[in-house]
Amino acid sequence: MKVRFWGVRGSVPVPGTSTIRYGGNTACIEVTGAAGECIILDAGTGLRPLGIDMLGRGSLPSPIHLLITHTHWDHIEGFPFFAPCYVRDATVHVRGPVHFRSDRSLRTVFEAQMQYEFFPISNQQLAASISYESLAETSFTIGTITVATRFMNHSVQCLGYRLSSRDVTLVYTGDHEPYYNLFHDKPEPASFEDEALLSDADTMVERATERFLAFLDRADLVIIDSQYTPQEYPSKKRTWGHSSWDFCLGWMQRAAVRRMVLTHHDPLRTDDILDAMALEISRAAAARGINPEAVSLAREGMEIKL
Amino acid sequence: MRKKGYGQTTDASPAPRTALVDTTADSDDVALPPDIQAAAEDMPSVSPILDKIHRMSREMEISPRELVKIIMLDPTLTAQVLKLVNSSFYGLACRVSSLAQAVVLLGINTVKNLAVTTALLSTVFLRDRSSPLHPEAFWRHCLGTATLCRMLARTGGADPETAELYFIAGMLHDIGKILFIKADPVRYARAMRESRCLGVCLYFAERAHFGCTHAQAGAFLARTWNLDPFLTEAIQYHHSRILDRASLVVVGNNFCKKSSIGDSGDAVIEEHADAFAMRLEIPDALLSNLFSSVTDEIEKAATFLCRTKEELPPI
Repeated sequence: MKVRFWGVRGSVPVPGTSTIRYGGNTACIEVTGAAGECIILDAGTGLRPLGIDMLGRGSLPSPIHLLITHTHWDHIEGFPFFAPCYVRDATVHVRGPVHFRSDRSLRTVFEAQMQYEFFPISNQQLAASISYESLAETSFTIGTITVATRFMNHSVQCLGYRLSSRDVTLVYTGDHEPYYNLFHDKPEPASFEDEALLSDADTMVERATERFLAFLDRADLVIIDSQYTPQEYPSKKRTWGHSSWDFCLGWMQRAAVRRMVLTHHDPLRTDDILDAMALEISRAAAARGINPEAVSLAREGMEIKL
Repeated sequence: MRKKGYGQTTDASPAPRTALVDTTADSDDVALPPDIQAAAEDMPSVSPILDKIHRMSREMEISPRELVKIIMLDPTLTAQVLKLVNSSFYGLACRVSSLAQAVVLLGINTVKNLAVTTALLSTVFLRDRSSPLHPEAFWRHCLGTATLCRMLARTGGADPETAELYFIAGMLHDIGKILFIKADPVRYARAMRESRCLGVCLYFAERAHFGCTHAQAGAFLARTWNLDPFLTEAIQYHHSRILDRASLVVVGNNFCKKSSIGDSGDAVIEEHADAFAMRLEIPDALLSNLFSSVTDEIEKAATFLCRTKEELPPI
């Protein structure tokens, strides 16, 4: 399996002189399987340069599998600019999480972002053959790769993907926040009932975390959301749906993950800030007994062979 | 003495209290017959939960603790929500056994959506075995109207909370029919048959057989439940020929009848619905485009809820 990062930013694209080394595009990762399977994880603005690059490679892979973790803008807004969509004969299979309401389904959201108020070409006008599939927690195969899905903890339904081929496993979490007891919303429990709810929820949080760790279990590579710093997360960013790198390191150890790439960088991080963070993270990793070389920050253009 | 002409006097000329033949479904001056009132008092009320959840989501900030506590007030609803969370729709690889766990795993919005829809659907589910209306066809009609109303409201620029109110209005617009069926299913079957044979609106036959229409009975129920005034209004005026904020429900209701989405027991299409659609500037193309979304939603609900008589809660 070969992995290439085309977009590593969270929230919004940040082009400019201060984001040249890490890149300013939003979430998009290209995975190429041993038998040439073409899987793209998320359709952030990184999908645009990837599409152009694909056209330059000769024949397009068929079909192109687009696995969407969730439908927030930073994960879908590259789609209208994905060149293969405009190629007759191209086939794009889009998969993403189910939504309880059909007016929020994957297809509806993809069509809605190309309504004429927002974009001059409608989804129906695209030349390629495009299909949509809503996924629950499930598993399926793409060529020689088995894909398993798990719901992550985010403000909208978000699916993580675990891609396994014969000897390697890659997990991409999409956006994920540590599970926490969200019933702790008042300073102290008001009643006996509240007390029961809170203690029940504590157990549930632990179970949900175990479930998440089982999904990462002994993966060769985990690409994970770490938008925040340990200083920002607990004080200001709880409930925003993202993790901080200290949590990621903890999970890496608990799930015996071999290598971890931290992505979904906050738009406020300049190249210099990210460099400083990388240093801080590798020191923290070493202090925990993790090989610092096994943890890195995602950069546009970075390639990993598994 | 000079005869006074129209418009020349400020005296209120005594208007006839009732027209010779009342052709509307919704006049206010009707005394609800005692059997219908009794049926209304007998209905399991949805209002505490729906109303609370709705009021809270209107404030946009419903705390997880509050949500769970509201749902827990109703053990049946709690069980239904857990069943849905554990259904193949989400395919969760683990078993969810408490609402707290459901909120932790799937998030507050998902659980809130599930609870509201389930509570609403169970209100329009006919439990009477001798019901002349097919229970599934009836809730399909209600859900179809609800979905369509919400979509129309959204495309018309309504904010999300108003759109949700239209959804609830669509779901509950025919709730008066449940009261009639509860009170006397045989008589209701007769009314249905008569309306079908004569090709007249069902509410004409209802008035002849029960002394009031389902719009009036439904509005009475909504008032008893102390529902949002808009909901009461929408239920009462969903056959009205006067264009107002309830007219979207008229359009939704008739579109579902025309497109054979479910069965309301009333085959008559009201022509003024088309005029309303025009006045509200709803393009024809939009309605036909929404058809597949509405049927998708219903199919999903149908498989998702896997409702069978055995699974229904006792009343």
